[in-house]
Amino acid sequence: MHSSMLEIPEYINGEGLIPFLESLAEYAEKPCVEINFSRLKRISPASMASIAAFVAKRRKKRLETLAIGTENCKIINYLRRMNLMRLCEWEMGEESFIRHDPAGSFLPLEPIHEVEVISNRIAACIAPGGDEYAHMNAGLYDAAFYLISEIANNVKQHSYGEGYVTLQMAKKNGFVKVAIADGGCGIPTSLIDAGLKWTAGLSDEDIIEQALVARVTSKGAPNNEGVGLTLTSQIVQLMGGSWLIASKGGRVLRLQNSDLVKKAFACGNCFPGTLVALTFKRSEASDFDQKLHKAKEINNLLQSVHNRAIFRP
Amino acid sequence: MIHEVNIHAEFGNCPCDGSHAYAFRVTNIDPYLSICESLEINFSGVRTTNSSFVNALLVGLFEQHGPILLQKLSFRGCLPTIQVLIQAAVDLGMIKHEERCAKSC
Repeated sequence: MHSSMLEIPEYINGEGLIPFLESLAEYAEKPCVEINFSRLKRISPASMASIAAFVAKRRKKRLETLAIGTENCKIINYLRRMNLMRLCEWEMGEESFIRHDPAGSFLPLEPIHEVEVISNRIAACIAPGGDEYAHMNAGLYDAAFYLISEIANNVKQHSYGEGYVTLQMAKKNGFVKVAIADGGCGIPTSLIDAGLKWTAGLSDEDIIEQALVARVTSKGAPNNEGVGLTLTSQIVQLMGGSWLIASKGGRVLRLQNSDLVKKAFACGNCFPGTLVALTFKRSEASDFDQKLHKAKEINNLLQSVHNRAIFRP
Repeated sequence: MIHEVNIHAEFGNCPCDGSHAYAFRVTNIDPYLSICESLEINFSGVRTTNSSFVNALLVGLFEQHGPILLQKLSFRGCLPTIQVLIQAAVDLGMIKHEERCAKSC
């Protein structure tokens, strides 16, 4: 069978992420793809999770995806430690490298099976000790648990377990980078298939933008109110961060202190699933309950002083 | 009669799945509202949770019953983050209750 080669450039982190997502979209439907890792030097959590989603989606469609050039790749051991090669089924068997203790610095790529378990593990990784409420990392723990569990719930409902999550903590600037990607049908398809009339005539990037509006959901009441993605993106902004959602034919990006930018993938190509990438300042998470309150206020999800719930100690 | 439901005993430290919360509400909260004087939802021991869980547990109740439910329903042992989530669920339920009343008028 004729194969197509997807050459990964040296840097697919930072500004290299979007062009790389364009490449994944371009190659998503090709019958056989060889991904060439030989030039790769830097990769971000978002790129790594996207590769895993790309391969998962292709596997589901019985399309072959091979890894080549790994013997020349300068960061191959890092990719192994981050579980990428194993989850993509490019390397099986015993691990031939030493695993480092990830506490407080990174979490290898993991499939999303149990949302509570994975959300807890991530929260404990970036906020050691935060599972005790009196601990100084408690706010960060709450923030991480909230953000991951809300997105992972969506992934699980839309992609039937083919989602992946990973994170890195940048010690230099104190930013936390979280990426969750899945090889599911994508946010636009999910909302269109739910029969929501307002989606008619909208581009995929417009639909993604609308999905960020409170109370827009494809899953419907009674057990979903459509505020998960809304609050997640708002909280990230309040924590001095930025976010990117790429799904099907469109992507929406909000950098810190910038307006929202939405764009279609080139040539009508589609990202093979959904990527949600979040970056936020670790130091801004300490007062998470106040950020959550503010996010709800901004999105008109709080009423005035009437109708206060009664709380007892 | 006072009916108490214990979230930690049912869901552990960090409940986050809305579908579980909804199923619990239908079987363990809804039926008691008409037969109990008051109902207390106890979050003692719950370390954290999310909007999916709390909304699925509460929004529908307040949408259905409106402000009168606050005279009957109270919450115990909630950490500040959980209090924010609960109050937001109450508010969202009230908004939906008003919308429902406006539609039926």
